[in-house]
Amino acid sequence: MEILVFLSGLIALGGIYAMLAVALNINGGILGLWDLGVVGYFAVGAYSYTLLTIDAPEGLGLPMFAGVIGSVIITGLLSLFIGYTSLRLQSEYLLITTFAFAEIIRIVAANEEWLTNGNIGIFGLDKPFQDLIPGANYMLFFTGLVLISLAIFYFFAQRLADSPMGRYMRAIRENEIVTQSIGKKIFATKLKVFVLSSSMVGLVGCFYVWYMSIIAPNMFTSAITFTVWTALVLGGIGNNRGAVIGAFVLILVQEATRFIPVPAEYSVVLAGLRQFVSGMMLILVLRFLPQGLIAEKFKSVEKIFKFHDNTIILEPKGVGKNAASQGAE
Amino acid sequence: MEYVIYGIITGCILIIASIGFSMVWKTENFLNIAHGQMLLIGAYMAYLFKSVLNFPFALAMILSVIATAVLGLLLAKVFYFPVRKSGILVLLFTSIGLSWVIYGIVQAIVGPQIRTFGLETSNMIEVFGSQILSYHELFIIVISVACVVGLHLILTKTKNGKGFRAMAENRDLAQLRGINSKKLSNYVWLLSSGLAGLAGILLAMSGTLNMELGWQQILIIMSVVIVGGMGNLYGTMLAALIIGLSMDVSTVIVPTSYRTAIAFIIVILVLLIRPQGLSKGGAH
Repeated sequence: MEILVFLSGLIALGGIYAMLAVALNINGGILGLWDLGVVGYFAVGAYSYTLLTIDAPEGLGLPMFAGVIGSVIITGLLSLFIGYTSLRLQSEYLLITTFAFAEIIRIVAANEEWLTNGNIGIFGLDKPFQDLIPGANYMLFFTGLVLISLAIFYFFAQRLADSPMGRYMRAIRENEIVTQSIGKKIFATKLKVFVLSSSMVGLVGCFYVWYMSIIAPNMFTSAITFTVWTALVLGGIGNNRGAVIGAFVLILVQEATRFIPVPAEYSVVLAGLRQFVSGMMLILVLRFLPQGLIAEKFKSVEKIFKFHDNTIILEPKGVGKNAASQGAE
Repeated sequence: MEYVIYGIITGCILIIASIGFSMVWKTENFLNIAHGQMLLIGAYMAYLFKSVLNFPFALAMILSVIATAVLGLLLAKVFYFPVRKSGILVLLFTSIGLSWVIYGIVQAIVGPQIRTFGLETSNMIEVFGSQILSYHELFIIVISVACVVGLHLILTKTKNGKGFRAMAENRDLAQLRGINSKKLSNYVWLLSSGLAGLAGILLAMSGTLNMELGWQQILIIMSVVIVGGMGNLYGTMLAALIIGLSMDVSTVIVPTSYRTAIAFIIVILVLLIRPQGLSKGGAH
């Protein structure tokens, strides 16, 4: 029984990261935005959910359902602001701006004690349907909930990727200027997709709060952003199945080592080893499988236009796009 | 007044830390995230020489800068050069992976304790009857001025320096004109990692030595380089001073914990108003 609880906890965490990776894939993979702000929207989603649902005086005491919807709306509005200010920038500049926004969000969360209780954080948060399910089985139920939402995320992202909108997003990723020249609105599309993807990340923030049942600023360091991107690169950028698999593989590798029984004095070595293995995995996959474990397939386009025969993927120098398109050449 | 001094010192360290990053960006066209971890390596190397092997501090410093430089070149040869052809996104993620590898190894060796070099506190220098800065702080300023002047001379007077500038503008053309870009990029990696190591040591000198040093600094380094204009060395130096000063002077008005947020706000503002950075340069 204990091993089952442990396993389900692992799968729940993997599922949360997989949801993040699927959401990021819409934005960073298919549209090709270099967005390093993932943890920022994640934090905003988690904090706004917490503050909406906990009882007064700190929060508003709204029901859980309203809290989830509210957190998605708040994250959406904030990402609308971030996107509107930063999406005109290209590649590295966008990367740094989104990164900067995420850091500012974390610093604000750590310092505005009246709002977020600062570095101490907020403890003992409720989980959904906690009263209905006995404690021992709760983790199993929660894992199911995570997996169901992951499936919804996955099918939504898959539908989007296969839709005309998905093709259009890939067109922007491969060559913005050409796409613009055939009369598509680049900025408006980027903004729409950015807000969509960030709101999805905000929604996952609620799951993270339920999983941890506490919230504190140090849960939202840039390590999360890097982990999600690593998962995406491992699995294969631009491909939803890859995003899910990459996230589970990465979390399994990182968390499995946590439970190797070692004397306490070696726990630091083991923690270092965990970072080492994740980093090595990323480097080796990039070196030997630059498209990730599963390469992106241009499913519908492939059928219609025989995309693979057509090797003219324009790659303007210095504005390099991404690993998937590099590999496709 | 003392905040201005702190700001200048922060700026000086940032100059040393950012120049190497900027040089690599300019010649290799990618953001080398692992640069932050080179600071960490430099600082812990110096700790090893100074506090474990009991070398004199100056010798420890020189040895660890050289060791970091060589290590940086080796890491580049093993990890970056083979994937150069796969594009800048692969390079960027390789550098993120490398950061984790370095961080993991250093953590496994040194553990989470916070350390210092254990230097004896130095006397304050009195100017016009008021104590302005300590000898340590003066030392940091002198070193960074020396680095800036030295680098300027290398870039403008020596053949390799001119070659570097040519290569940064247009790699293919430079190669065509008989510049050995392989040899030159080895020099760039040596210089960049050495400077990173030096910055790490100075940073640990002015504060404490902890594991998060690399991750904290790389964010600020990236801000500096962006504000300075892509890969523009002189813009980078100016930006380092501006960001260093504004981070420390701002603590007069806002709480100290917002210090790094100030740097990021500057970056966002600069990018919105002048997307090409303070001074023009680079590909855009």
